[in-house]
Amino acid sequence: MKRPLPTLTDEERAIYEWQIWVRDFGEEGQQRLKNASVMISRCGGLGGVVAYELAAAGVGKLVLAHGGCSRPSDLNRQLLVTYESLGKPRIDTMARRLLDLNPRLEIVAVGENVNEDNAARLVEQADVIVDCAPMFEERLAMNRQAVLQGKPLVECAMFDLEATITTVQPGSTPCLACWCPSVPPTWKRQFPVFGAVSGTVGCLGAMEAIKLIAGFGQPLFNRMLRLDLRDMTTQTVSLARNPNCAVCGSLARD
Amino acid sequence: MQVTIQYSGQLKLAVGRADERLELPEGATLDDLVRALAERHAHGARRFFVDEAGEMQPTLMLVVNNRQVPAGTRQTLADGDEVMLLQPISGG
Repeated sequence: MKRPLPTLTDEERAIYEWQIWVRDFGEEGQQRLKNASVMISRCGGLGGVVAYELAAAGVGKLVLAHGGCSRPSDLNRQLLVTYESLGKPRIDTMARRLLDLNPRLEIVAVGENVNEDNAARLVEQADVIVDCAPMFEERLAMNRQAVLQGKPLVECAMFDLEATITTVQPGSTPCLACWCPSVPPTWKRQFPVFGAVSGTVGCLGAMEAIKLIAGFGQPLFNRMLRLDLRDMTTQTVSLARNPNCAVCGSLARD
Repeated sequence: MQVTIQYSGQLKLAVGRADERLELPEGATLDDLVRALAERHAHGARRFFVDEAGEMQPTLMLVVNNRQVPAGTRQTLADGDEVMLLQPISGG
């Protein structure tokens, strides 16, 4: 995010005119988005909406990681997957759908999920990380690399009609491992989900990334927002760093 | 003293309710509360609270009056405290 800011073309000014009107964002905020790269771990029901919103908002580069071929059970929530693409690699359809919306977008499409071997390389390519993976192994690997490389990480998740979101700023906020040091033994790969729930937290995650990049508003530092769409309640929980955290405990406090 | 417990995520489904109240002796700690809940919900939800050795699950996130309590902190509870047990979720 320290690269010189690019100028906007006339076409870009026309496309982003209405969001450039947002207080504290303006044309410089749009230039910052154009200059920025965001890595999204899995682009399914949650991450697909993050990717779509960031593509719409004019982020310059997206690094997408999502393995496997699409299945019928993806279609209730994975909005970047199409009926015609069933059985084909998800990542190809996702990239194509995003480019349909924003052909100026640079996409690094990686057809594999995050793991200990590829996490460092994926994080290196982005200014901001948005973690949307359904497996804690992937989340913990991504968190570890984000902390090691000092990159902000938006951590968003859902289950049933509940959702949580917080933003990690390594060295100054708790990281994921501060409150979830290992894979919860009770977590199951398959979880109840409406696309509208994962999409809701996806929009919030995209907005966190936009604020981090453009430098306005107050990201969810040291706070976790919890939503329950069953009764439409929200809670904000104050988070604390764990001084004994194996991932970020040794980092000096900013 | 009496505290209110709120459940979230899979834990809410495992205990079959969103919240409950529990009577605890004066001076009880958060650790005491979790062990009491593990006993109360021994059938079906015990492993959410404690591991096989009976130690508190390290991934159980404890929140007292909307403030997360870091793992390993000895926190004494007070009458009227609202304790949320947040089970980390990762669905997408």
